[in-house]
Formats: sequence, structure tokens, C-alpha cells
Amino acid sequence: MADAGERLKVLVVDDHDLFRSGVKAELPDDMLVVGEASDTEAAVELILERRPDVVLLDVHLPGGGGAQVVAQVKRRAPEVVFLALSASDAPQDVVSVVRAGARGYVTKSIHPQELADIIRRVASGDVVFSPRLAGFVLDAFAGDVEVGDPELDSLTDREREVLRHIARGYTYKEVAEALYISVKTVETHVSSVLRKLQLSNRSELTRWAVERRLI
Amino acid sequence: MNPAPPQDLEATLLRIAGGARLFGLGWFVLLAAVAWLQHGDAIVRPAWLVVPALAAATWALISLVAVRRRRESAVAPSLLAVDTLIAAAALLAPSQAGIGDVLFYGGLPLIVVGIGAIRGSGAAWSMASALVLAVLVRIGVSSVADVVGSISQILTYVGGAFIFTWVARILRSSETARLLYAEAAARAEERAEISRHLHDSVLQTLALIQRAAADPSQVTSLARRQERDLREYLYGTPRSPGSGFADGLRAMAADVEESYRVAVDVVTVGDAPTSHRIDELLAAAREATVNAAKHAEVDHVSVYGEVLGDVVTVYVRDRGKGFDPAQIGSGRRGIEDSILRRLEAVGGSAELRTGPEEGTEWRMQVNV
Repeated sequence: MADAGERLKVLVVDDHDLFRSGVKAELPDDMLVVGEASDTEAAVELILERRPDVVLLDVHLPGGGGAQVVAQVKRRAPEVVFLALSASDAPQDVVSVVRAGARGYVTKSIHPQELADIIRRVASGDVVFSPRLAGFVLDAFAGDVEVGDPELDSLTDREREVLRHIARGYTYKEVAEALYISVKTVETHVSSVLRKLQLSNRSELTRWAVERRLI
Repeated sequence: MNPAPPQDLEATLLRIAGGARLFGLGWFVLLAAVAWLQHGDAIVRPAWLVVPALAAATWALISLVAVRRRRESAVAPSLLAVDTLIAAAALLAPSQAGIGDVLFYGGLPLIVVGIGAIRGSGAAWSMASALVLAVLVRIGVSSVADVVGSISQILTYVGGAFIFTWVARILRSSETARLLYAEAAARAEERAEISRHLHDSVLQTLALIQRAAADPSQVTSLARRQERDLREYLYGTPRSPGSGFADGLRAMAADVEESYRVAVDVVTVGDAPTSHRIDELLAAAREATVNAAKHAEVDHVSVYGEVLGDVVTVYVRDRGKGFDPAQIGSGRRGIEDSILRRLEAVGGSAELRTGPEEGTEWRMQVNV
């Protein structure tokens, strides 16, 4: 976590040079790009060496993929925070990298200003769900659980309500106002959903993960 | 890399093998009958001939049925073995009937070698060897040794095996080459089609973007349209209005994006088949989205559609300037009324939340 006054260390992992230089140019002054990598192996090495606060991680990478980078780094440096970026909206891509341990997911078409905000939020411990990821999660957790852990494999009504608002395009603050709860409570619900997303064995999730050869 | 087996040629060769077998057997049975009748006044009728002739006739029927019912390929090893046995028997049998017959019956063994060649050179050569062996046995046991005739027969079978094998190989390799060529041509055509598409759409869009560089909203709209187009092309998810609720909502959003130069983000959860009610809901959602695009002064509208049990709900939301519902112009009133009436007519409901500087959000709902 970055102290106030200190610049946030960001590492960009993407195989598109154009995108990396674009992100670098757009990040505000309080963020410092401490490294760039363009494939899985180089990314893991560089992240372990430079120890950034936040890694911006492309889901599709030569030599494995974003999910593998997260999985390999998490084993040796669990404190590194990942924010997944993707040009694709395919649920299997997004869900696989989040299940591997990313703290959030946004599409590459995101506005630079918004990206900077989100980087700050994940760096400070928040979980960032895009409307689309919220939609995927609602889809994946739809219906009753056949078998397994009911605590992990289903969402509470409140969590569902929070996700539906996020899917509708609400910010956490707007969700809090709409549901008459605090922003902190919204964050707690989203963290809990993230935990379920990562640990649940619901068939939709494992299917998506299998499609990306994660399991 | 092995090319796919040339199916057409193989089917033809199998038909030829089956036809040749029937022809060879029939020919042999006919000749055997003629020979038997011609020797009718002789002291010794060629009784040996009867056995292979009957065997040949029976085999003709059995093999025909087996191949017709697709129990066996026309060149299955078991069939080829019986073919060889009958041909060898034919070669051995007429040894008592004189030289002429020996040359006469040579036709069946030659055809049999040809059938073997269709299976492959191994089969052709082993069958030819079996027949040569039969001829040698005949020379050994026969009192009337016709060495010249026998040697010419041996040469015929060996030569036949060589020629048939060679012809089959030529046919197959030229067919394979033809198929490889056709495959390469198809690949080249596909590549040409991809570059044509990239040129027509992507390069054109990039050119337009360069010309429109000063107008960010136009650049965004061009880029989004191209993105959608490319996704459809690459992942083959055509937007076909009417194929379902989720597809319909996405198609609606894409349409509004193109017409009004705003970004419309769509998230859907669940899906439902299309119906009159759903069409009305989509039409209402479209009006709400267009309304936001036209009046809210935003560059971005969020659309969320969900199917929960029997209830289908669409939210259309913008963070624009909003308005005071109590004091609005007749134009907006009209749109609101039309959304409400449209949904109420199919038993649904609609609700608008807005306020000055608060953006707007429509909630629209029907039952499946």
C-alpha cells in the first residue's frame, strides 16, 4: 500500500506496445510505471523483482495468460495487487483471471481518468467490479446450488442487490445511497462476492475456468 | 502432414473392385460351363472343373451380398483371401482338360490380382505369389506339363501385379495432389477474404479516424462501431434482433450508439426467448436510451437487462443533467407517456427516477 505523498508503483503487463505506452502516458503524476513486460515469464520475474503496488495485467498474454501470472506471483508475493484489463468481454477470460486472484477487472476502453481512480482504489484494498463483471457473477450464481458449500456457492440477497446496482452502472457511493448503507458496507459485500467468486466450485465458474485451461 | 484420404476416388476404386470380382467370377463360371459341355462326348468329363465353378458362383453371390449390405469393404482381407483361393482352384482344376483351357481361365486370376492392387501393393503381391505357387504346383503334378503356357501365366500375374499396383498408386497420388491443391486454393481464398474485410472495414475506419482526429466524439463512435464489427467478424456473434432478449438489447444499444454518437454499455443477466411483450419492452428501452442520448448531454448510457424467473427488467441510466419531472416540455412528456403506455398495454410497468442534475434512470418491466 502506498503512503500519501509517495508515488504509487505500477507495473504494466501487456503484449501490445501501443497499449503499454498509452497507459504510461495517461497515468497521472502520482503514479510511477516501474516496469513493463510483454509475456508471462518476463512478467512474473519483473513483478517479483520490482514489487509494484499494482500490476495492470492483460488477460491475454503470450506464454500462458494473465491468470498464470497472477497464480505464479501470488505463491511468492501474495501482497501484490492485480487489476485485470482486457479487450475481450468473454466471461471465461475475465472470470479466470479474477479467480486466479486479481482484485478487479476493467475493459481496455476505459477512460484514463477512471483507470487512475480504479488503480488507486485497488491499491488501497478495494475490490473493483465493472458492470460487466457484476453481470457475469450474477449469471454464474443464478439458480440453486445442486451440491457443494452453500455459503460459498450462493450469494446473499444483499450481495445480489449490490451486484445488480453495479451492473446497472452505479458507483459504490451511488449503491450505498440507493440501498441506505455505508460505502464501507458496499465494499464489504463486494469483497465477500470476490471471495466466493474465487473459492466457489459452482459449475459455471469451473466451466469458464476449464475453458481457459486453468484447472 | 497427411492429407485427408481422397474419398471420391476410393469409393470409385471400391466399386471397380466389386464389379471386377463379379465380372471375373461370372466369366469363369461361363467358360467352365462351355468347357464342360464341349467335353460332353469325351470319356472323361472335366469333373474337377465343377468344384471351382460352383465355388465361384456361390462366392459371387456371397461377396455381392456382403459388400451390398456394407458388412465388408470390397477389398477386405477376408474377401481377398477367398478370391485368391477360388482363382488358385481354377488354375489347378483344368489341368486335366488341356492347354487351351489353362490360358482361358487365366482371366479370373488376373482380375483377382487387380482387385488386390486396389487394396494395396502388399495385397497384390501376396495374391500374385499365391497364384504363381498354384501354377508351379500344377506343373509339378500334371502329367501333361505345359511349361511354356505356365511360364507365360506366371509372367502375366507378376506383370499384372506390377502394372495394377502402379496404376493404383498413380491414381491415388494425383488425387492427393489435386486435393492438396484445392486445399491450398481454399486457404488462399480465405486469406484474401480476410484481407478484403480488414481493408474494407478496419483500414477505412482508421482513415476516417485520422480525418476526424479533432472531433473526439466522432473518433470514439467510429472506434466503437469498428470494434463491434470486428468482434462480430472474428467471433461470429451476429446481432440478430429478435433472436432473444439479450441479443435484442445489445442490437438496440449498438443501433443507438451508431445513430447518436454516445457509448451505450449493455450488461445482461439471464435470457429469454423473444415474444411480443419482450419486443415491446425492447422498443420501450430503445426510446429511453434514445431519450438519454438526445437530452441528457452525456457521452455514456448504461443499459442493464435481467431475466429473473418470469420477470424481465431493463434499466436505462445516464448521469446527465436530469430534469424536474414537474416542469418538463411536452416533447419529453410525450416520450414518457409512450414508454408507459406501451408497457402498460402488455401488462408491464415503467418507472422514471430523475431530478435536476441527478441523471435519469428508467426501470421497465414485463412478464415473460
